[in-house]
Order: sequence, then C-alpha cells, then structure tokens
Amino acid sequence: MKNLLAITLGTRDIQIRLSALNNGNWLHEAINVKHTKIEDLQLPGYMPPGFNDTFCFSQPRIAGKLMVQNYQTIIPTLHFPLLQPVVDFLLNKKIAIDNILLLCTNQEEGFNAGLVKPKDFQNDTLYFAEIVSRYLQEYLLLPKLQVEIYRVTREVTNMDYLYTHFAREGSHFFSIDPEEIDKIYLLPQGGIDHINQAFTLKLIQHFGEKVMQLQQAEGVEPKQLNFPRLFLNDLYRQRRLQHLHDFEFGLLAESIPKGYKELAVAKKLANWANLKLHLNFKELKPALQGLEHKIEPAFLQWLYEESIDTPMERLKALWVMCHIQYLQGNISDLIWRLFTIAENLFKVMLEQLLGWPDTKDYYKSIAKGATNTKWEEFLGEENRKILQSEGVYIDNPNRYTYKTLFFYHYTQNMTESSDEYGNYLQVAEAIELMARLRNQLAHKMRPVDLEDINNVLSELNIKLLELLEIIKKLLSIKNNQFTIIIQHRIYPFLNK
Amino acid sequence: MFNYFVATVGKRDVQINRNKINENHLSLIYDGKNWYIKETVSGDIIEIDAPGNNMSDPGENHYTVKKPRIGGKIILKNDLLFSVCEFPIISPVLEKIFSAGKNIKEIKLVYTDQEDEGYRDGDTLYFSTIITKYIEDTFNIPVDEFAVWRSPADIDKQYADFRHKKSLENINLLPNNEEVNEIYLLAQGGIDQINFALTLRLIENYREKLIYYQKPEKGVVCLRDFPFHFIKNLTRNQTIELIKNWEFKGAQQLLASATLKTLCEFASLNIELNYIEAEKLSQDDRIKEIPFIAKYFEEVSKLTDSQFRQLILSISLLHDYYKGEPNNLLWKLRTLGEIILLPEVEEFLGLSNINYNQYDFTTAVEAKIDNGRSLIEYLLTKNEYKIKKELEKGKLTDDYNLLQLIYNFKYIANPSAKKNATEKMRIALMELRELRNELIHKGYFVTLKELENAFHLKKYTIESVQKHIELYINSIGVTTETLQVIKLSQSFCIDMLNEDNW
Repeated sequence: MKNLLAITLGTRDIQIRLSALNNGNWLHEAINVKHTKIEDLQLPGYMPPGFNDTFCFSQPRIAGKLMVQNYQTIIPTLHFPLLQPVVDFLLNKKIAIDNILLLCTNQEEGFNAGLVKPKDFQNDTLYFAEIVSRYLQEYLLLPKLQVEIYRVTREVTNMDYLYTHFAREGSHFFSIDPEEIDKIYLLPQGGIDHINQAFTLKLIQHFGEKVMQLQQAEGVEPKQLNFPRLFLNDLYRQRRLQHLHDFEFGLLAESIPKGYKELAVAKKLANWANLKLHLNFKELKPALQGLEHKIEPAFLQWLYEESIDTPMERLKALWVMCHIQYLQGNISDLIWRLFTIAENLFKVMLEQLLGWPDTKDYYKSIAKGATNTKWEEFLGEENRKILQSEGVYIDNPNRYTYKTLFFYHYTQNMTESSDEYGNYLQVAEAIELMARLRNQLAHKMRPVDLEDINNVLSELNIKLLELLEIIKKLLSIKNNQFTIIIQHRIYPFLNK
Repeated sequence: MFNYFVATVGKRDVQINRNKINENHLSLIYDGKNWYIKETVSGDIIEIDAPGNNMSDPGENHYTVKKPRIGGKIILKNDLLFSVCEFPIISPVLEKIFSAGKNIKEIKLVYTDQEDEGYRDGDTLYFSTIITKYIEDTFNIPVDEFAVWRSPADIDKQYADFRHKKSLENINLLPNNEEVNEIYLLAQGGIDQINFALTLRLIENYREKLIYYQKPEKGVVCLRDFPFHFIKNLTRNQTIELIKNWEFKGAQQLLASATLKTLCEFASLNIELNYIEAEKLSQDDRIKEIPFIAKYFEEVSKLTDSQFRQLILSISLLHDYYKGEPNNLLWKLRTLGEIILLPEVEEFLGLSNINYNQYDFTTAVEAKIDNGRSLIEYLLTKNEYKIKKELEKGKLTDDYNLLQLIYNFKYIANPSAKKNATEKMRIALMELRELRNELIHKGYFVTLKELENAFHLKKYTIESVQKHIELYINSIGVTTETLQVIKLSQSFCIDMLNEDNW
C-alpha cells in the first residue's frame, strides 16, 4: 500500500535563510539577495514582517528560474518552512512516502495573450516546483518518476475548470489505483485558494477517506485536519443511517472504510451483527477482537455471550433474519431461511425439552435401511419404540423424528391444554404447508411472493407475520434482540 | 420552498467609489506614508490601501479600506461615507440572481469578529452590517448575520461550527433543507478556510440545491457547477462500489441514468429468479439495444419453459457464487438438479405429469402409481433383475438412489453418454443435489470454504461445477455470454459510470 503526498505550491514555499548566507559568497540587500561571484544570480524579494532570518521572493518566476539554473549553489541557503515540517512530521510517524505530486502554476500562455496580469505571471511557481521536486527526491531518496509536477496553465480561479482539470489532464497521480493507496497526505496551502479548494475536493471525491489533510503554519507543528472525513461522514450519514434502519449491517460495515477511527467501533459492531444474521458463528468471536477498551466491559461481555454457538442461538438468529427480510419484502431470500427453521425447529425444541446435546453429529449420509448405530443407541429403547410405532425411520435424525418425539414428550409432561401446545401444533402444520412452497419454487419456477405464502397459510387461518410471531414466542425471542441492541449502539456513532 | 443567499464577507466586499471623492465633502489625503479619505463635515477619517498597490488594487474605480474593523465602524455611522460605498462583488451576484427571475427569502452573511487582538483589524463585522443596510434598503430582503469569533483558519472547527451556527438573534445559518428550493452561495470573501468550510457544509447539506457563484473582481458573475458534479461523482463512486458488490438493488436507488437503472433492475430480477418481470424488459427501449441484453432475449425466446427456468437458475446461481452466498447457491443447485433430473425420472418410469408439489418426490411418484403399489413394486414390474440387484445392495431405498438407479440404467444402456458434456453436468448435479441437506444437518450455515471442501469430497471444484453448468447451458442453445449476463451487466454499468467522470 502506498502513501502519497500532494502539495500545492505558493510563493512563500521556498525561502532563503539569511543566516545561511554567511559564507562570503552572498550579499543581502533590502530587496535583493545576490551572489558575489555569479553575476546574474540576483534574487528580488523581501523580509516578511515578524521574521528576522527569512527572505521571501517577490517574483517567484524569475527567482525560481535562477535558482533552478544554480541549484547546487543556492540549495544550502534555502529552507522550506511549510513543506519541510510536513515531510519530517510524516517521517517521524514512520510514514514512508511513495509518490509526490507538486501542484504549481504556469500562466505563460495567458500572459502572452494579455489575459494574465504581469504580477500574477511573475508569481507562477513552476520553477519552485522543480526545485522542490529535486530537493525532495534527494531528501527522501525517491526516484524521479515518483515525483510528479502538475502545472495549472489557465483559469486558475475557475473552480469548474480546475475541478475537472485534475482528473482529465492525465495526471499520473490520479491514475494510481485507489486500492493500492493507503493514505494521501495533502498540504493545500500554497498559492491560489481556488486551486487548493478544487484540488482538495477532487482528491476527496477520488480517494475518499484516504485523504489526510495537513495544515502547516510557519514556525509551528503540522496539524492533521479531520474535515475531509467529517465531510464525507456527513455526506454518507443519511445513507448509513438508512442501512442501519433497514438492518443492512453488511452494507453499513462496507460503507465505513478501514482505518476510519471515529467509526471503527460502529464498523465492528455492524460486521458482527451481519455475521450473526448470516449464522457465521465461527467468525463471531474473532470479529470482536479490538473492541476491548473501546466499549464498556459489560457490553463486550454481552457480545461474547451472544457469540456462543448453540442450536438455539442459530435458530433465533435465523428467525431474526427472516423477520428482517419480511420487513424488507425480500421474500425469495426469506423462504430458504424459513425452510431451515422448519427443518430445525423441533430438533432444537426437543433438545431443549429433553436436555439433549446438539444432535447434529448423529446425522450420517447413509442409505435408507442401513443402520446408524450411534444414533439408535443415543435414542434409547423408549424413543426408538415411539418412532417405530409412528412409522418413522430411526436410521437418521430428521425433522419427522424430532417432531414425533417432541410432541410425544411434550404431551407427556403437559398437565392441561395450553396455548403453547396449540402454537406448536400450528407451527408443525405450517411447516408442512411451507414445504410446498419450496417445491413450487423448484418446479414451477414461479417467483414466490408474500401473497403466495399467505395463500398457503390460509389453510391454517394465519398469515406469515403471525407464523413468525408464533415461532418467536416458542423460541422465547425478546423484542429487544441483538439487532435492535446493536442498532441502538451504532446510532450515536453515525449521528455525531 | 424558498431561495436563500449565503455570502462570506471579506475586506473587498465594501469599496469606495473613487469618482465620488472630492464631492460630498470627501477628500483624499496622502501623508507621505499612508492614504486616507476624510469626511470634512464631521472630520471622520478612514485609512485606505495605497492606490495602485498591486496587492490591493481593486480596479480603477475603487479604493479599499485598509482596516475593515476601524474603517467599517466609521463608515457605518457616517452617512456621507456610506453613500460612496459600493459592493462590486455581492451586488452583481444578487442582480444576476434577480435577473434570472429568482426571489430570495433571506440573505445570510458570515463575517469575522475575532477575539485574538492580533487579527482584529481585518475583521469584517462592520462591513457585514454595512452590506446588510445596503441590501435591506435596496432590495428589501431580510439579512441575518453570523459571526466567526475564533480560529477562522481552523477548517475542522469552522466546518463543525457551521452545522449549528446561529446568529445573535438565534436564527440558524443553515435553513431547514425541506424549506429550501435553491441556496445561492458566494464564498470568496475573507479567509479561505471559512469559505471552504462553508462551501463544504452547504454541499453536504443541500447537495443539488446549492448554486455556487464566483465573481472575479473585474470579470462577470459566473455560476459554477462543481458542487453538483462533486456530489454526482461521490454518488457515482458509491454506486460503483455497490455494483462491484453485486448490490444491484441498492445501486438502482442511486442511479440517475434510466438505462443503468433498468439494467440493474434486470440483473436484480434475474438474481431473484423473477423471470416473469425480467422477460417484460425485453421490449424496454432503454436496454434492448445493449448487445448482450439483445442476445439474452433472443436466446431466451427460443427456449422451452423448462429450459428458461434452468437458465435463470444457473444465472442466479453463478451470481451467488460470485457474491459469496454459498447457502443460496446450494439450494439453487439442488433446485436446478431437480428441474433437470426429474424429467428423466418421468421418462424412466414411463409416467407423466407427476405432481411434484410434495415434499419429496418419491411420494409424488408413488401417488402416480396405480393400484396402491409401492414404488419398489412398480419398479420391479419395469425391470425385475436390475431392481432386485439394487435392492440387495440396499441402495434402492430413497429418492436420491432412485435417481442413481435411473442413471445406472441409462449408462449401462449407453456407456458413452457419460462422456457427453450434458450428461456430465447431470451427473454432477445428481451427485451434488443432496449436498445442501448434508451440510445443513451439520449446522445451518455453510461457508464458502465448507462448500468447497464438500465439493472436493465429491471430486468437484466450484470451477468445475461452473464449467459443467456452462457446457450444459451451451448444449441447450444458450451462449456463455447469456449465462454470464449478471457479470456483463456489472461490467457495463461500471464502464458507463466511469466514463461519466466530470
């Protein structure tokens, strides 16, 4: 991953340090610094108010050209009061800079056509860019190819032109694949405000949150600004809130870039919820790594507890996803989840009723009629008899096995007719009815919609939502289940 | 819905008309070092920038005030000085807006009034009041003023503050978005960071409703489009991301292009197996000319119903693989197997119109067998020797092995059929069709890795299954291009969106 540095150059980006002129070859006059042995090397400029050791150039074009021609002579006297601290700041943070873009102006064409004022023409920074380029290549040991000079040649205050210009004029910088880039450090302080703004916007648009804007005032430490990320966060806030509202945790997590500290917790929580909704229990605990000290211990503890992989937790998570898909009107994806609930509901209920462990490993892919000794032994004589008396195979666990055993044991322990029993019966019947849907999907290939499901369920006088509510009750799913809790936890991050 | 105008006030927003000096009791004074304008009745005097100084020359017709705080305060209370003030940046912009037939409900001015003594001379608080007076007198539009007190060069702070900034009268800088029809912005006065922060805040808040103006000192008022394109580009980036992640439905909501919207709809319908609605798009002018879409509909029109179902399931199934949805892929694979294999069952058994709307098809087959015979009994009547042999092996007991039996029969009769691409695909589907049940019994969720492992145990890879499907689909007269229609739609959308990079 590359780190890029982009700098817009201004007229004060290169200065002479007057104390460095004391080798006898230089003469500083009020508005000039000149070399005593090189006749033409006269640099017009001024000492900015409040600075005793600094000489700025009043005509960067002329001064810059002379400095390019006499680079080795002048370089020991130069300093870069904005660039140098920024480059050192990055180096101190162990950030290796791979590519540099120097943005400068060259309004020669407009000047020759009489469209650019002489003063503006003289303020062009094209030669400053050459000096800075050469200096940074040497300072950072960068190959020449990795430092690009980008010249704005006209319309320097036209925001529309500038905004499009950067991407259209074939800059190598903009052709670097964003996927290859870790961060782009931007120092847009030099020169013309419009160039700075347009360039900043273009970078934000092109590279998003990877843009790290730096601010450097002369004589103080560089400061990293947050507004590009704040701005993008504001822009994306509504969409992210919508994802959150719709329980689209996957999309929400994806919409938050890696390394975005302010939303890192929100990203992790969204990712965790997404994994759980997709029953990817193996990944749940690893997904919580890095949340220590960022959320309160009790909440972290709750997340770990919710990450425990049990058949009941899976069934609950399946139900939650079904319910979300119902709310989203995503019936085609809801169906296979509902089938999976149907296939597993009585298994889980039976395991819970009889205190059995998860019996999934007793399933063996064997031909019917073959013996699954482990399963038969596990069932025990009583259960085998119950199943056989009902004509249910005992070779492998299946939904008939679980349903039969569940109802037998449940009614054995039931003292009087209860609503719960009625619910179980209704769900059992609904499951059989729902099975038709899968085949309808498979064989008729008709897209199944809510109406189809409700039509099938009309035999039981219930609708899909009621069925989901019954299952919810049977599974003891709280209203405040994990997606709601995560939703509430993420909301404040997004709405900051 | 109303229109609003927002401007930042800078040092050059109030200028003094040169041609009106020496009238109205005003005179220009030079003391050998600095320049002043004196109002001779009251004796008020304001310092101005040196005429002809390149750094501050506003043009041939105006003087600029050197220290806006002091100068502005004097101008404000001196009618004569006020009467020679002009507003060469803000005034033409307002006139341009009015000449376009737009009304403005309210004008909002942002000025500086800093706490830091070192910078107070340049503050524009009084300039803002001068402009307010001018606007209210001239245009009769209410003006609210908003102060920046601290850190005007700290763009982070300014950007954050503008969100909830209020005037001294407790009026919000940012009007409620729902009430805004258009909001005009002139952000070139004063401090760059304030201008940029305000621009960003207004882009963020009002998006396409923001109309950005620029007024070069000597040029005409220009309307700039970059905020619109900036938002459009950001939306485009998000759309591309969604499409890259196969989220065609999400992308549909963001797309402005009717063609791409319809193409995303087409892709979604295929993914959702909604071939009824997908087919309706065959006559849609927006997409029917796209070559791969034209080809899709041309090829589909030649298919039987059953083949069309096979195709659309295959298309959707491949999408599930690209997107990494192994569970969806599994049940579609199973369903595809059934659609393709069940006609074989019917043919083998010599039965037709079996009602497969049952949970397992052995029951469905048995329902078709007359005289209450079991399937086994019925099969024995078809080929006693083979069936007995299979029964002895204990294999002929459930639906899975019924299919196995049928295939055994077929390949015994015609061993070379196994080498046929179509048959290979059928064998693969047959061998994989129960995979979902096996995996689901081990847990309710299958990861891609687990799926790959399960395929591997059956001597397949996802790629080889994909290849089988491709060859099979080719064998029913459909090209790989049509099978890959989701992928092609994805590339098409991304290419089109990338081309439109303003």
